[in-house]
Amino acid sequence: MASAVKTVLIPRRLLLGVSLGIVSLGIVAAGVMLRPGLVEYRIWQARRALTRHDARTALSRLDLAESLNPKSGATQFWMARAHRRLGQMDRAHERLARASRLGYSAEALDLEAMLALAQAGRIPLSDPRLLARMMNPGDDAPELYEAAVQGSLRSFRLDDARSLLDAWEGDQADSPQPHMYRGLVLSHQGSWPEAADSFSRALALAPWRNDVRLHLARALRESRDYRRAVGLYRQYLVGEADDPDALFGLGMCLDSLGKSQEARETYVRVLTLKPDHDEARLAIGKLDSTHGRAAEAIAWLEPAVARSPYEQDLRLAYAWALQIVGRPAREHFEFAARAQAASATVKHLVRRVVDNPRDVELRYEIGAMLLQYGRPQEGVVWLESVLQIQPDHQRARDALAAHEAARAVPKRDAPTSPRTAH
Amino acid sequence: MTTTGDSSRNFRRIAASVVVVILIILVTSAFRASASRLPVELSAGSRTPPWDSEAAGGPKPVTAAELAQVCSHCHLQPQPDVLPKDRWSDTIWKMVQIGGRSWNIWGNTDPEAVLDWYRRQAPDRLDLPPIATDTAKGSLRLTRREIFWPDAPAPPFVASMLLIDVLGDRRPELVVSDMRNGAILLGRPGDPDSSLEPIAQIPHPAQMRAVDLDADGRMDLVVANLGSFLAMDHKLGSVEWLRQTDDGRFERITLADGLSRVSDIQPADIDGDGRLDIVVAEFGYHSTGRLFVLENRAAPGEPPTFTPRDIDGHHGASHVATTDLDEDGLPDIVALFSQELESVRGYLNQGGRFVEFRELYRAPHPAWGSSGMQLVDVDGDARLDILLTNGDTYDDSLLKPYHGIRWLQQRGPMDYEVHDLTRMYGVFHAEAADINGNGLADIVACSMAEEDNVEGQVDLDQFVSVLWLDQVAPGQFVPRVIEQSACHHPTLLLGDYDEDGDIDLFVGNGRFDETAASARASVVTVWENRAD
Repeated sequence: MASAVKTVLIPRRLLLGVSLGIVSLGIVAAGVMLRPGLVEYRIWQARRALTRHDARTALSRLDLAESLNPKSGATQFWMARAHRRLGQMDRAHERLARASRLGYSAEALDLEAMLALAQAGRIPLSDPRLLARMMNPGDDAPELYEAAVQGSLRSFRLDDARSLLDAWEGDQADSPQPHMYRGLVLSHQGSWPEAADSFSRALALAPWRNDVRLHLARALRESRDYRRAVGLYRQYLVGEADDPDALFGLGMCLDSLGKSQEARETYVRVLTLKPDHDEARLAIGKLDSTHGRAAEAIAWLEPAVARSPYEQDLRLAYAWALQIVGRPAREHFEFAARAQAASATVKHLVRRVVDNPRDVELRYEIGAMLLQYGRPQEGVVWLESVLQIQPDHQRARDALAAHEAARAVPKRDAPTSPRTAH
Repeated sequence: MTTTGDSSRNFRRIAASVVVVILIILVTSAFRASASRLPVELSAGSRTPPWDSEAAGGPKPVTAAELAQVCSHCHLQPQPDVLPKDRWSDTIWKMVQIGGRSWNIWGNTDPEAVLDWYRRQAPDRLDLPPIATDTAKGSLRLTRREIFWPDAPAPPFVASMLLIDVLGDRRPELVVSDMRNGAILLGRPGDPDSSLEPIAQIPHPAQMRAVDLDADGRMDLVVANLGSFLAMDHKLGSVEWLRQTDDGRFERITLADGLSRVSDIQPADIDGDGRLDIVVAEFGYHSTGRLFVLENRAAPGEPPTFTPRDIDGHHGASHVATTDLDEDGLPDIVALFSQELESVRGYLNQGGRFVEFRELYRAPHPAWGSSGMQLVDVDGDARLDILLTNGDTYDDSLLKPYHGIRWLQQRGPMDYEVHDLTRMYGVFHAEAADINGNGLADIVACSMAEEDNVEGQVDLDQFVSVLWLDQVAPGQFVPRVIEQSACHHPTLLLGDYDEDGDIDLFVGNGRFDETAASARASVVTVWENRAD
């Protein structure tokens, strides 16, 4: 009995060990066999997300795919597309390079690279390669339209953008995208009520699109339809509670509707999320100055003025706060007045560009003026648009080179203060 | 074998379990993915967007009494037809903002209810009927020429002009203030090929007066420096004295600075002490501005020194003049206010103090757009009348059917009868003088409007830019066109520069849109009167 028992005990252990080993091997084998499937599944999820214009979700799915298989060219390709959609061009190029090294389809990579250029406004609509693709877009039509419209907007070729949108709306009547981009074109022109109408149409076609909801809220705010804008901002913030720009927009509306305290609290929340949100600092500064707290206003405004000395409204609000407490303010008043005049001139010039989109001198003047008195990054875009039309435009080249050189040596043209209480 | 069979069964079970788990994960993920699309399918058929729900109830309607109460805190209540429907939103919310969101003004009245009230009754657009002009040229023969500043850095913007013998050479010089280039220019229009050259730099010279401020026998200039080309609340405005030196140069001395936008000045001995004081129209903008006097406190023989004394804390004084309104021998002050007041106020001088004012004229609503004022005897009764223009388009970029020229005929001390002389879109300035030699003062006016500012509203080529109101009989004016299609004249001046006994016209040029003209643009257009 004893030997019999002993004989039985040994095979059971062995059996258990073997079983566990087989199971483990099985799981590993299943994992190995299923991994490509899982990667494909994550890519499929990402593509679905991109179809819904949700590039962030797409990236999160692709991150999972990459962790399963870092050597998937497809994963890298779709990551490039997601980054491009988000306007993260450097990352997009990096992913494209990886996809290329991993042997992904050269044709697809070429198309994606061209889309990146088109979206950045670095190739005109008349580019032969782009034209060829536009003539025979296949399944890529939405991508081509979207990239080309974005590029036209970016380089202020509004006629091109409008033509593309007309065609896009004709091709894809149920798509919210052309309506959304038409809203953006109208926003560029300052036609806010009309922009709101376009965004409304886009949102009616895609009510889940929070990005469109945010555009609509902004357009309504600019149209001074504050009450509806507040409703939309609040809806948007249900899903994106920590979006500083949406919170800021909500604050602006509340401010306009007279809810100063609630507005101020909203602005402060914006700054806890994004301390360098200069518009929120400006808004708080204005509120504090208006309510007899000029010293506090200065503390809010100072970091913003140091960071963005070219912002006319900031300089003016700062000047008033300084004036109230008896500190020298003249240089800030003077800058604000000069910038205001320059801004009016830019506005006139931009209207002329709408009628003369290929006039490089107009574009150069706008770019040069914005570099001096406006947002430098906008000036750069205008100067780059000059070079797209006339690559040998020497003054545009010189201005861009001078700007780059100046960026390398930070200028201290804004006030500095030891007090940065906020 | 038994053991192998069990293992195989176990493996199949485990493998099956793994597959089931994977399938569950896949199905769950797929469901999650499709769940996010559910709102599309559910709401695609709905035609009432959920974000519009607040519009259904709308704000509580405002009553006429509430509306009148709210508006009258700052200005007369405008009727809905003074602006087109699409402009009321900007206007009402601007009121909220300008009022510093003072909710004690608004009380329980919801700005959106006010907006709704106006939008419901406002016209879709403002109709602009043609100006009824007489096509006959009348008895006037004018020849035109241009005066340039050859080295102008940027296109000029002429804010004011003087025709006066400044240099003491017994010939009238033309003095011009160029707001864009920050220059005071001087030229001799009687010289062949005359041009203008700078004599002083002042950042934004709006208005000038020629006066011997220090009583040294040489004509000086006093200049209102606006401080910025465009409207803004700031502290860059100043009152400048261009003191003429022995050698005919002009030395700039700042009499007062740290002011908001100073639009006009008028030297006068306000307190009767024998020294010239200066009345200052500090226009400001939304939160700055006032009317005040710089009192000259210098001891006899000393250079003038000034101390400010406030007269009226309201902003928006654009033009100022002095005259004896109540015939008590003391110079009183007449000021034109635009912004929300849109009125002409007379401040009565009580020994250098101004404790009382009379409203000499008030426009019917705050969208009026007052743009110019001249005190001049239009009817030849030896009493100063008031000539007014309203055509400012730079607050809301609109030409309006009520733009025009009005004559406030003085019937007695501070008693004026208002005559609507003519409609003129974008009219900026008018002056009166007998230009056709019929013994009756005519009126000449110029207009200022730009394509960008009136986009889509009109074709400016069809609009009158210089208009002559020919006084053919006492009080009867016939409008005649001198120039059309060049509505870029901020100011004009009437005077006999060639001393041939007739009045010539000097029309100042300037565009707010710097990009619409070249630096070589004409500064002043001269219409030389060749009357027989």
